[in-house]
Amino acid sequence: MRVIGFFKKHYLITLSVILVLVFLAATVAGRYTISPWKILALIGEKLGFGPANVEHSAYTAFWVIRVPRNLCAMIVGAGLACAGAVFQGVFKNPMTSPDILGAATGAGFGAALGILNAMSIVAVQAMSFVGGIVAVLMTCLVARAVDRKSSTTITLILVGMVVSALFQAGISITKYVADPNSTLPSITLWLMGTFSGLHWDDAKQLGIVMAVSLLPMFLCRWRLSVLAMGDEEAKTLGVNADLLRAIMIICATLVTSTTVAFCGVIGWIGLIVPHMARAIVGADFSKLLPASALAGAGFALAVDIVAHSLMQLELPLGILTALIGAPFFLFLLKRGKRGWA
Amino acid sequence: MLEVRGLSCGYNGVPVLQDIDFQVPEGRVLVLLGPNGIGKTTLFKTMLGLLPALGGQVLLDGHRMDLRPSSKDMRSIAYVPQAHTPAFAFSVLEVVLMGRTAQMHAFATPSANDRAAAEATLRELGLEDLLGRLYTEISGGERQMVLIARALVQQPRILVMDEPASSLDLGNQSKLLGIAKQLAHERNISVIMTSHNPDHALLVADDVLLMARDGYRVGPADRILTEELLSHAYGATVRIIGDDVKACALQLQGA
Repeated sequence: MRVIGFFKKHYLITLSVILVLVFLAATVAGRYTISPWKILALIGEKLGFGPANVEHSAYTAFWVIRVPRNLCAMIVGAGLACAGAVFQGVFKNPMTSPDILGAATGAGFGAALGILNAMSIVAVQAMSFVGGIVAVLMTCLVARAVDRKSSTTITLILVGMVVSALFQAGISITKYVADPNSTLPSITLWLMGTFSGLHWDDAKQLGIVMAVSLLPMFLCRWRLSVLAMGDEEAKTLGVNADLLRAIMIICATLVTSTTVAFCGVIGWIGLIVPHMARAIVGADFSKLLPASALAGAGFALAVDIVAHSLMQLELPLGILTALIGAPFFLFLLKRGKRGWA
Repeated sequence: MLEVRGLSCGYNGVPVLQDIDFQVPEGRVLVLLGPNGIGKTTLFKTMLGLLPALGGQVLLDGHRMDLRPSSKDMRSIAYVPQAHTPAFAFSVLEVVLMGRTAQMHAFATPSANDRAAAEATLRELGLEDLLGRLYTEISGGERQMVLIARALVQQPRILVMDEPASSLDLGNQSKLLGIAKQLAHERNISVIMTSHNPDHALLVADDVLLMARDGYRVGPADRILTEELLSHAYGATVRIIGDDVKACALQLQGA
């Protein structure tokens, strides 16, 4: 127990060490095996310790394919986990995930529409991003029209479900009319999510968008804790609840839409990682957000290792996160009777 | 001193209460009594800026209060809501620290100073045993006391409590009411609280605001807490018994 207490107290170091280990494992694992010594030599070369004397294929596999891919996985995992933690707090509901307002389905529909019309990859990404934003805008506007005065949280979540269903129907239509030999498989794959094919440029763009959307969350971390106690209490304690919630919805929507635009739909991370983090550091967002970011990055990387090394062909991420996430969530439900520790 | 002048409040522009006037000087306890649904909570919400006032004003030391959250005026009012279980397991210390939020920079987290103040307040109220506990795992009475600690670290001049004693057992009721009285008389805080139980008013009130269907009355406790006025306000036959400690006795209807 004392060991666990030590790790809990120094959660930042513990989670960072785990993340580095998972990162190293992710660079070693794969169909093309690179030995850890070669990886050290390759990193040493970049740092100016002389030539690595490693074959060119290892260089390519490491620097061109695996490192950017792993970086993308970490950025996306951290982003989704933080967005999930923030949404759970803002909506005072531990069952909330960052796609609750329709961002993921909207973005999925945008991407599907783009693929259906044989657009370029950049255009598909743009369509996906716009789709996510439009869906959340719709949710917010409709919720406002339905319920102008009183408690907006429940209305917002309900309208989010309806808007999600609407865009899900849109996705079904595009799939139905898609060419079963070319576009249909692409749409289906996109909707299941993957980190493969992501390069340094993608990592840079993802990194910038995530940094911009996570910054407000980290800045307002204490006020988010206060908001999680309820709107009226937060207001009397000096927090502008409506403004804070609006900013957080915008940030989380950016995170979710960007993720779908680059990697397809990856569910569950935003739902379960915050719970893991809460079990380690408690409910206070000042600790919960850094812990969620580190744990989310590690979780996404770990799932990606399984995705590209479990079988001959690459497994879609969405399937794996669901396979891991669903049982884990049931475990949480059983444990949750003691309150969301 | 807090003063309410000609205040009208209600929802969606429909007034529930109209033209309410009263004041709470420093160091006094005002208890709000009245039947269910008369608008006690609505009045509180309006005073706290959670509902827009439909008319009239709230004055602090003679000037009109800025009722926006985090305004300088609102810092001197602390609110103790009815304790509920939040969705997340914050620690008791974290909950108390939330009382410092209004004094903190928008992007700040609690400092060592804030922590020391929170711990000192918990100790003052005799709650030091709760320091390492989770807020979700303590009893309802303890939770209510923690919320009072949270209100006190805000260093308020006015303390507004919504049914603070309603769900507590007798022991906790007497503890809580004792603290309310002590805060007013020893720390010179203006205390305003609602209650369902006229006995609470008999125990601690300096002034009483009694709401009835056909209007309200406000004044010193001994003038308002009479058998006649209470019976009229609640629509029941109420008798006040006892000498040292007064209490209400009910007569059953139809019996």
